[in-house]
Amino acid sequence: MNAIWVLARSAYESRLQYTASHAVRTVASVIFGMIYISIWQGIGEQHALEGYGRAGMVAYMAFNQVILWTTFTSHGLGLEDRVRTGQIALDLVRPLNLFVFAAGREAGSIAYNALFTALPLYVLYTFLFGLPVPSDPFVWLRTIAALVMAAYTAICISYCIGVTALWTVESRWFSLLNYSLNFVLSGFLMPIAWMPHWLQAVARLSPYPVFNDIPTRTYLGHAAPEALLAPLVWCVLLSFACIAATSAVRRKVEVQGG
Amino acid sequence: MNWLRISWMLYKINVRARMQYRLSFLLTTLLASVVTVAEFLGLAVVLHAFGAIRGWNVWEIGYLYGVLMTAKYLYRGFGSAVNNFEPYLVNGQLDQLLLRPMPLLLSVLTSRTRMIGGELLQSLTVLGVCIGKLLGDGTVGWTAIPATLLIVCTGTVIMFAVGLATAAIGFWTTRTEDLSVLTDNASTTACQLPLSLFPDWLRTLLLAVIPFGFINYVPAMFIVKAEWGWWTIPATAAVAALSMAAALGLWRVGVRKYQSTGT
Repeated sequence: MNAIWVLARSAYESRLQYTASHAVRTVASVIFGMIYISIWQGIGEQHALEGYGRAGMVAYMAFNQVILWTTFTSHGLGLEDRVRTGQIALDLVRPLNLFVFAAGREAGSIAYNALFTALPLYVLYTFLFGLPVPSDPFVWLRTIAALVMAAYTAICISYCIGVTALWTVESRWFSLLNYSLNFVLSGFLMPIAWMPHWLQAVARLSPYPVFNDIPTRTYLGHAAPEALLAPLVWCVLLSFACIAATSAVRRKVEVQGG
Repeated sequence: MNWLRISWMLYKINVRARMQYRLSFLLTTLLASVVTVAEFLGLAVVLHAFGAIRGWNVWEIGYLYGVLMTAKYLYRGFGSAVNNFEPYLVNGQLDQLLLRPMPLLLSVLTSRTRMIGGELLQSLTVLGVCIGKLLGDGTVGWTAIPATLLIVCTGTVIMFAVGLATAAIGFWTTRTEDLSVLTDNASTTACQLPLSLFPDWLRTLLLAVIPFGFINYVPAMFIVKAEWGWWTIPATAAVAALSMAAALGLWRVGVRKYQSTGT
């Protein structure tokens, strides 16, 4: 546990060094948020948006844009570069499981994103778009639980993508595929319940609703407490997948260079 | 002409080098074709559920998407190095290219290649299907086809110009990756939709500062919506030419200011 804390803190502190580029990225994030919110402001002029209304959908999109940063992981947790440089061999020699090592570092980065991107965006969107602030502490508790599980799920998926570099050398396209599936199936653009039935079925069988649909509906009070069961199941399943992947990596590793 | 022959040779060498990692190359091509269409699929699902956004239906928005993404991937095909210029400045790779006996910009452009077959196929498919549908229901006439080919070309020039200007700013700032999230990613995402959806400040930004609005929205207001006049086509070409001239000027000034990071 101490190792994870040290790794997370070092990643967090290293991210603190790039404040100017961080500011540019936050501005970009505000613009991205504006783009997606504008879609629903446009649609809301002509449609009732059942269950949400125009203001509710603006809040849904705004909160999605805020929490995006708590599940935003680096490509393959940086493992691809470590495979290319041969650093992966040294990582495997460490007296620390490769998954714990990579996940610990990423957790620090996510904490930084949450504090310096998600939180300012949350405050900004509360003023700009009237994002509602729940008064029920249990809603907050469930939202935080959903977000923690979403972040962990994102780390696990990125880890699985990162270790594929041991077989394919380049795993960037898996990250992009993951991003695309996430974009369509997570409920980022619209609640999953509004999707065509076949797409709803695909989405609900995937881990992607864990990232947006479940935390945002929980925050807005549209989801029952049982909605948190799905993220819990995915966290357990993906943990096993990561353990199995680490075991496979140990047998597969070959140094590309250095 | 000699420079073009050398550039073509270097480009082919890069392609062959890329293809050495066969599994990676195959996966890249295969997955690229899936990835690029997902963003439009997300939007198409929204439009499927609600019909249209402020008078723009799924085929018209698909047209905007198809033109924009085709221009984007044509640019990425030959301008991948410009699009991801930061490592050249941070790692000092540009120093090696400065020693080559050929124009620096050509050296940079031919130093890295990106295979864009999968992405281009997808964006052209979306564009082709949407034009076909718009032709079928009489929204556009056959003249839309040459006009679209023209705006794909001017769009590629605008994309390249903005990419080159972003890269050139790196001569002063060294790091450009986050800036390109603004000038490239955010602008591209916005212009997949009609600009009429956005607040005035964002629309002005996308027409006057980062003129991505001229890649698809402005000409589409004539080609698809027939709400604006034919002047949008020469205006688009003029914006492309001016953007290119400005970007090349900035690049030339930047090269003169360049100081190696020494690594």
